[in-house]
Amino acid sequence: MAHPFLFNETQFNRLFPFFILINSELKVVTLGKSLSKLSDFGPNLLFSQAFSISRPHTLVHSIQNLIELENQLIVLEFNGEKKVLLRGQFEFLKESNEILFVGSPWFGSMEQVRENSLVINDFANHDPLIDLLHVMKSQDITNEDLKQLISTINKQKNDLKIANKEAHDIALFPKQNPDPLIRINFDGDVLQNNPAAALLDFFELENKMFRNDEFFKLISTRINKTNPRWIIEAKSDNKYYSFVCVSMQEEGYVNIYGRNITRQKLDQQKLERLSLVASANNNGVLFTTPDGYITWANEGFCKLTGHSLSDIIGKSPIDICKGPLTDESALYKVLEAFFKGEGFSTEIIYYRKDQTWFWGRSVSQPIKNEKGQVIEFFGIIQDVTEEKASEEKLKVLSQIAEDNINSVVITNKKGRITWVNKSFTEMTGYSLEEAVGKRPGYLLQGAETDKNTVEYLRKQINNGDPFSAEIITYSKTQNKFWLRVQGQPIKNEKGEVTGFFALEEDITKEKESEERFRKALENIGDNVWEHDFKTGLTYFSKSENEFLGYTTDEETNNQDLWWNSVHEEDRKLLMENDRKYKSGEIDAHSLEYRIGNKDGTTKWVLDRGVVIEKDRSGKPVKITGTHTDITERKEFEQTLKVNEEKYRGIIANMNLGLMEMNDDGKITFANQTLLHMTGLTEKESIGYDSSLFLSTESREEVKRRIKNRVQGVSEAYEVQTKINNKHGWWFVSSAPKLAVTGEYLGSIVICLDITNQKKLEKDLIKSREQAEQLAKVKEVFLANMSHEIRTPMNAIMGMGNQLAKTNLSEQQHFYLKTINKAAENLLVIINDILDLSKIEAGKLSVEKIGFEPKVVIDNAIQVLMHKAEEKGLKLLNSYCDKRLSRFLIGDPYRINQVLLNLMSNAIKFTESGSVEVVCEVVLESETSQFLQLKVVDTGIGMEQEFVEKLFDKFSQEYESVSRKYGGTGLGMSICKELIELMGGEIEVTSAKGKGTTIAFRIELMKGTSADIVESSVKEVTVDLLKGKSILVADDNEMNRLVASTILEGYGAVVIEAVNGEDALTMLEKHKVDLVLMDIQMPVLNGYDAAKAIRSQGRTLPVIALTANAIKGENEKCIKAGMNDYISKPFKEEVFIKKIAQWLNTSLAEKILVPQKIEPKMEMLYDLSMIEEISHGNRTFVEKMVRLFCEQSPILSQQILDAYNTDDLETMGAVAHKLKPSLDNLKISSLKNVIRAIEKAGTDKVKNDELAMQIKVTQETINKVISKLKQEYPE
Amino acid sequence: MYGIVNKSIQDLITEKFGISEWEAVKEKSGVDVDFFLSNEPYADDITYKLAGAAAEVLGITVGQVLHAFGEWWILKTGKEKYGGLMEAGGNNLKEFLVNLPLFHNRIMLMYPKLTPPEFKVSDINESSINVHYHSKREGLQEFVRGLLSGLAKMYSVEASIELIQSRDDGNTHEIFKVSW
Repeated sequence: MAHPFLFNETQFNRLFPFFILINSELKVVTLGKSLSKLSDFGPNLLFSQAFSISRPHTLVHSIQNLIELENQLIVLEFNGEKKVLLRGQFEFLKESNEILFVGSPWFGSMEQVRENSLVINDFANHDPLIDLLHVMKSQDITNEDLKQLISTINKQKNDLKIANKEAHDIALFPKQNPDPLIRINFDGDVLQNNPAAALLDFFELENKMFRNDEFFKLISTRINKTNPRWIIEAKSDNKYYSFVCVSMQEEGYVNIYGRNITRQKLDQQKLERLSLVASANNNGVLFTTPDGYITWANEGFCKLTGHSLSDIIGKSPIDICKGPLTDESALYKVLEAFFKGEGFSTEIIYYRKDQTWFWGRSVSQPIKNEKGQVIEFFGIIQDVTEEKASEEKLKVLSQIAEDNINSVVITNKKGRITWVNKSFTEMTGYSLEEAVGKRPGYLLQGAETDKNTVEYLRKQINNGDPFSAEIITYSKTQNKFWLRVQGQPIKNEKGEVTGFFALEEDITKEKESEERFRKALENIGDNVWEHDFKTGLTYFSKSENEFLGYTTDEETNNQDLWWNSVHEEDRKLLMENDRKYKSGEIDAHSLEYRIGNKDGTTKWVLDRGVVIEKDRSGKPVKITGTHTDITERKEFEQTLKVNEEKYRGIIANMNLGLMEMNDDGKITFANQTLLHMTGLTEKESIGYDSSLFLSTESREEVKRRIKNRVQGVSEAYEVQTKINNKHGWWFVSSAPKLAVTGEYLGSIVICLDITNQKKLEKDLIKSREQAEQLAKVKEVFLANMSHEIRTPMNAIMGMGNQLAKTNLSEQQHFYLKTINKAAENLLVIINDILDLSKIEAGKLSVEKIGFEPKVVIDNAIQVLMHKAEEKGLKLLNSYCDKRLSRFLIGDPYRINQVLLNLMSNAIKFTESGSVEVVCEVVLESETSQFLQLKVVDTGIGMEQEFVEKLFDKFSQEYESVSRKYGGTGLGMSICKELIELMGGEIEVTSAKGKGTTIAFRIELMKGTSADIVESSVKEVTVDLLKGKSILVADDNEMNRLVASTILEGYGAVVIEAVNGEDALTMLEKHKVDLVLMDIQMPVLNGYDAAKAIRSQGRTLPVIALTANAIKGENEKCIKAGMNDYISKPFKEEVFIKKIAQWLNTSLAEKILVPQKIEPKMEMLYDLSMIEEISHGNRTFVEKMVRLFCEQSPILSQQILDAYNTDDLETMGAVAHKLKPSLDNLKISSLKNVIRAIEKAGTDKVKNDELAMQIKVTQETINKVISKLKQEYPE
Repeated sequence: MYGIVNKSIQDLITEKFGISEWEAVKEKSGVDVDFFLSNEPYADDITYKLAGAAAEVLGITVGQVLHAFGEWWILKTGKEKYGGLMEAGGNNLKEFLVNLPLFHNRIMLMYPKLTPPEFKVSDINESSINVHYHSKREGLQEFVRGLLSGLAKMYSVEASIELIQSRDDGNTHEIFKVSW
């Protein structure tokens, strides 16, 4: 073990206060402090003397015996006065050759602890023995508690039992109870009884007399273990008793509950007698309990209801006999009577067992005891169905007669009235009393009454026959009215007539309307006729003559006239019709036939008729009808038919498919073309499901459109068809087909097969998509190309510019200039290509910003001035309209671009003479100016043919021209596009050898100075970026070099990173003020790098630097979290300005970018001029240097002093004095500064920049001096 | 508190004042528990109600009730119920009091449902000792004083018990100085 345990004796004693250490001779070397308390152990104690080992039982002879017990549970016994067991283990200590016992006494109780004079702290804290004993003690206490609890509960239970028994006994034998109560044991000995029981001495049971003790003995013999409850009825003291015996097997006694039933007994006997009477009755007899449950019924009841006695005993008669027709309210009354204990009598429908029913009349009476309490109900039920039925029938009949809306009259056999109903009274005004005993004729007939009809009625009545007639009669108040009388004899069982029954109906209105109707028909030109089959005669209304073209009374026999007028061919129609009437086949007719008019013309007539009277066998007696002149209609129909034929012809032969379909899409008509389109025959087409023409794609749509159709919408649309497995397209125009009532019947659909057109259309779309795809590819290609070219261009131009700043020989200058010029040309070409692609893609947009047109023109001239001068040409703005607004709104950049292009072309193609720019205001309104800008040259000119092609892309007059003058031939085309984009036009006038004039005209809105956007970028100074740390991230080494060379030239510290990830690392390592971030980089591109920078919470400016001159790039950069965007190749000035702007560098001096930056200290000044002057005289040079070193600090200090005292005049004068010294030493950085100070002095203007300019002057001079002193030590 | 506490109060009242007085106390307190099981925990509320009711029925202060109960707890309950356990706490009063913290810490382990007070001792001198009483329960100072007094009686020592610091005065716990 690395660290053997070492305890001192005190520690060991604390841990094991009962330990024993034994040496090899079995002597106890040491004992634990608590163990020592158990006995007075003397010195030299032998282990085996004081202790024995009981488990595992071992006799100890040598130490070896103990060593063998290692790693076992040992129970030691202390052989003192008190026996104490120790529980523990032996460990052999090899080094000292000793045996160690560690353990603790094992006590059974806390008392034993105390008996051995031990207390709690004699035990080690970790020893749980005391706690164990405590727990055991607690357990004892709990057990003790539980024992107590159980005994408490038992006591309570026994108390409750006793109390319960007492309460029971008291309840069982109440002294006041008038019923006898007795308790006997199983031997029949009376254990207890109440006073009522004690009074009973003798009992009569089963006709034998018993003394009370004998009686109870008898009861005890009847104890039956399986039936602990039985009833005995016995008589005692002239009273009947019922004894309910309850055997209590466990308690060993029988409780006997007696009850006086004398009254019931007597009643029962009485009832039995009554029942005997009742059972013989045909009517049903019932007995029920007071609450209505049947206790007995006679045979009559069983017969009536079909139930057996056993079915109904214990049931309520209501439950047994109730059925659907039973009157609930009557039942309710019965129940009410039951509850009140009252008798009742009712008639209700009783249902039999087989669910047939009868009307039963019930009479029921309660049977009461002496105290007036109802003890039973007695009821009789009689079947009164027949009685009820005839009563009902009579009631119904008289009701019918009384309530009939027609008058009902009943007479005796002589025809004298015995009864009339209400309607008769109302109709005639005669009351029942007035009418009775009179003949109806006597009451009703009058002046206009038809005598024949009266005679007819009289005859029928006398013969005892039925009668029916229409007759004019008069009311009591002499109101005339038409009466329809229908009557029949009433006969008795023998068939003798006992009277008459007649229904009379007022038909005045009917008669009147009939008359009116007839007149109405005649008035609208119809003839009305009536034909009598019996007589064969036909009566016509008066106008029949007129109808046939005769005068009113020209012909008298209308019947013949009519028949003769009927067209011969049509007469058989009438004859056939006549036959059908007679045979009963028809009851009405409608025929159209021709008749000849008197004037020889033919008329069409519509003949309609209906049977108005039939004989008993149902054969027609009379028919009536009309004749209508339908000649006009017939003619119209004919015309319609012709028209229909015409349109049918058109439809059938037209080149469009047409079909009519019903509301479920089934074809009802298809024209020839449609049949041809679908390949169906006409027969196949009818009923064909039109949706089967459709391909699955179109079915849903058509279904939806059919829904529109139902709403009455007409539509035209295209559908895809699939007919005979061939896919096609139809153009479909469909309209709803409506009934006259507006109800939707189906659709009419016109179809045009447009499959071919569709195919063409599809091809066209495909071609367009291909073209678009191609254009896109082209655009991407151009963009990529521009990027790929711009990247090296950046390096070429940038490094060229840097090279130009160094000292070069003339030859080198020439080479460099050529390179730069070539590079610029190339850039122009690239930009042209890019512009062109943008224009083509429609992505080029023009600005609408305020600008100064004159400035734009001047600048453009300025730019190309040197080119013109090189060729010895004059370049000038020869005319500028005075009206030209100073501020206009438009795109100055594009105008500049156009001007530059036109002018450079002019310069290019002009060998001698001039290039002039002319600016005219052609038209002016309040808000705008219409400008014409002309570039006029005296160059080679063009032939007319080429003028026409001038604006075509890639065109130059001759290939030789291209070779001579260079260029892509894109310029003019771009100019044209740009001008058109700005809403203007361009025009060329040229003649070979006579020069060219190109003019463009654009309209621009007028602006104000407020529209001019102030450039936020200020001018920059040489050490503008001094001390600024800029991180340039670009994978292109050349680009990094360009950027860092420029930046270092402005005093910045440049850190380079080769990709985005590298940039992030650099940002971790260095303090950086600004990041220039290329976009396309490996590992991590510029966008992601910018995002990462922002996500790190950095806020420093990040400027994108990319050759991707595509529109939208800027937005993408800003979106990625960058602040600005510079496109490559960049101009140094723009580049530096932008950086300065973001670094928020305070720009104190208004100095242009130096043409030549001295990147190193050596170039701070240049002694070449002095050296030249000295012509090799070094002393002169040294003298000049010394003079400079002495004087310039003094002068510069004077400048400062003068500035501080506001003596600007002096300041200017001193600056003037200092100026030549600075020029001589070619301290170019101060060249403009000192002049600015001088000018400020002359102008006496103390501007903001002055202080900084003075400071820069002083500092620069100090630098120059310190450098000079190194070079020319004194 | 464990039922044995309430049981002990019951025993105290029954033995000293009679069973009817106990019934009266129980009725007064509104405690409806017929039989307290020694080793079952009961709501503290019951104990407080019993003590309050006892004070009312017996016409003494609650403090007196608790004091009497403290002594009873040591001399009767402890001795009778737990036999040698009390005596095993030490061979004399001082030893017992010195062992008191240890004693209580053991009890805490044996009765997991118990919220036992914690005792600490300080200023152990020949004839006095400061017993610190930390408890979450309120108002049992007099019970503790009774316990200490009972202990003194158990060891047949005449001792004075002085409360020298109390939670009532804004302290964190009570300190009793036991002098003999």
